[in-house]
Amino acid sequence: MFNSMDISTSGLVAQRIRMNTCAMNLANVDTTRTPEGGPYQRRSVVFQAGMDARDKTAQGVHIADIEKQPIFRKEYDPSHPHADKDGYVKLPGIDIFTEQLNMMEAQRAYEANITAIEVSKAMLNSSLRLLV
Amino acid sequence: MIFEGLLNRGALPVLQQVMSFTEARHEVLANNISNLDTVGYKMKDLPTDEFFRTLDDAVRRRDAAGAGASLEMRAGRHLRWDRNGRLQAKPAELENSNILFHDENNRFVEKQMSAMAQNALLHNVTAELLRGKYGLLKAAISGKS
Repeated sequence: MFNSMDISTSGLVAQRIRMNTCAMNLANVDTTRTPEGGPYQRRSVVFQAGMDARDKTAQGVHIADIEKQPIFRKEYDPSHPHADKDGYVKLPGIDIFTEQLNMMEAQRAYEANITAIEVSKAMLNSSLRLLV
Repeated sequence: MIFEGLLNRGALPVLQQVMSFTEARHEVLANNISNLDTVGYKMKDLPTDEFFRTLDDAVRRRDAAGAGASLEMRAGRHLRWDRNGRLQAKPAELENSNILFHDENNRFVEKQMSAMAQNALLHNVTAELLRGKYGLLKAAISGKS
């Protein structure tokens, strides 16, 4: 019974990391310079079954990888300090609607996991009430 | 032991089996929900029909054997019981289930949630019945109602 709460918690953690990643993508929608050089690259999370990479029972979920996607868009803006010689600026290829949709999905999945935990708690409660 | 005879008769072992099954199934359903967005994950479940058929058979067999016989659950396709009568369940992927999404996941949130609610209700009802049985035993032992 406690195990099922751990499983749902792993879902909560994974969805929150996904939410963080979306927030980071949205915050960097116009970032043209990063410490590693070049514009910001969109991040996307990869889910995998199992509490962690070593989990053989494959219960719960974890983030296996946060991928960088080198997709860019170009905008014409000769006055921009990072414009190339033709006057084009290279920007991250981030679609804000995709990100927002992703965030909504993460939110719903988070809520589903919360509901599962609530149900676990109710079941545990009724089991423990056998003791009194 | 007088207590073993008291606790292994009637509805008590049946209710205990139902509770161990609902707990195991709840774990499987929680696992499905945590993997709603996992690429390539297939929803799993424990077969309720198989469990209740096995339970029904076991109860019939016990009744036929007469007084003093204990409840003996026989292993089926997905469900097994160890020597102490504990459930060792192997979750099976759902057949005939939902359409496959592009990420090769066959998620079906509504079905999962309603299965979970049903399972929890069954668990709570069983726990309540078991509580009533224990209450009766306690009343009988202490001699007051």
